[in-house]
Amino acid sequence: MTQADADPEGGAVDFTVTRSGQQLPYEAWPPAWQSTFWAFHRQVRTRYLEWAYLQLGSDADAEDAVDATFDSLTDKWGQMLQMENLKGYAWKVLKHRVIDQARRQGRRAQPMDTAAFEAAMTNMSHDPFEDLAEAMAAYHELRRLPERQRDVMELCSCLGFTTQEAAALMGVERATVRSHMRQARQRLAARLREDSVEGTDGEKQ
Amino acid sequence: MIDRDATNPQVEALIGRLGTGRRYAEYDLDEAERRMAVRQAARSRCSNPSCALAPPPTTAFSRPQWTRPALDGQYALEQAWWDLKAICTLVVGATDAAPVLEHFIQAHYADGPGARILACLLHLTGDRDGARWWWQFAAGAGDNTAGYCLLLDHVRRGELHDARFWGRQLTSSGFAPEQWGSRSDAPVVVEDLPDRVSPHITKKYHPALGRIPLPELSLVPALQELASADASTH
Repeated sequence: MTQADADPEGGAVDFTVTRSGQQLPYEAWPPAWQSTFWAFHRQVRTRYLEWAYLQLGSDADAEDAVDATFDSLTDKWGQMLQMENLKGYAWKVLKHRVIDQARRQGRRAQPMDTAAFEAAMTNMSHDPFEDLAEAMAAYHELRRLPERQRDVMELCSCLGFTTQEAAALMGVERATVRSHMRQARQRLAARLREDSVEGTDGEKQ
Repeated sequence: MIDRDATNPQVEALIGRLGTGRRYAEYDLDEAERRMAVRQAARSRCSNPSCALAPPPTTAFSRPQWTRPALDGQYALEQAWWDLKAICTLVVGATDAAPVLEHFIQAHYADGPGARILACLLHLTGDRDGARWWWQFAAGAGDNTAGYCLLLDHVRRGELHDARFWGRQLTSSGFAPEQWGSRSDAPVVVEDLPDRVSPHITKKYHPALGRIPLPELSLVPALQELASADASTH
């Protein structure tokens, strides 16, 4: 196993590149670095913003977190171009910067209730309060999922990304996204069963 | 036989309530690009280290310190990746690894430290999910080193909420990674480790737990051989 072994989740920056001094300041970047960087920025920026907003509940905070993500990517772009899974690495940098931003705001990074309000507005039916209560309950269940399943469900179910879009953003295989969604569904189903058993017990007493 | 892909209407209804609108559908990407280009050029020119925009100094991989479990959970992605590999090689290369693993297999997997050794071996072979399963098993049995591996694995995968959970657990239990020695003492992994280990692992599918890698008893002599191969590379 070598230092640059295949890692489906992105792995780390190959430090041998760092040692050979391939990291250049932005102003000295060769044209190929420039074009790939801006193409990547264009490809992912709004998706990063959507996910960051879901976590932070504020446009300004989402912009700051995504700006900080691209600062980090700029500092490592030369190394990232050597990586097997550039997208997976960038996704993890985003997650770190969103946590940093949430910490700066003095709150935990998690889907905010604002997302539940938005969801209720999006899926409005006859009774807005009922819609909101149901959306908040759904977001409550979402928060209790393991983080891998939650990330996938946030992208696919909250933000409406296709399996392919979510996989491309996270830098994983489509099969991985499908598998996490399936596991999330199983877990939600198990929880609903538990709740209904508790409910039945309560009625008997 | 349970149909694992059968849709549950209640679950689908719950998932259906999560959908939000596309908030940034009208976002001005050209403007964002201009702003970012100015920002990156300014950061690039900003050579004064006290400048808020200055990029952090590039650090080569020479840290002697382990990732510290911390209450506030500020972790570095790359360091976690390397630290996990390092702690796995130290766990697998420990002098008592083979007898502990043997006891684990003979006791029908009822042992935390043995589960941790198996998990670390699986990680080094590239079976990341199998490794995580057994780390969780070991950590559930109170093995702090397995908890530390989970902390690093979560950071490495960008699962920072879960990482913070283990950071708090390990901090409250007083776990120090230095008990495994210095960060820089980790042995180099032999290139053919997956070939040496994989033939001794069978995979069992459980409908609720998923795919679980189980060790054969023949993994014990394979691990002993591995230890001598590691030693001969130093």
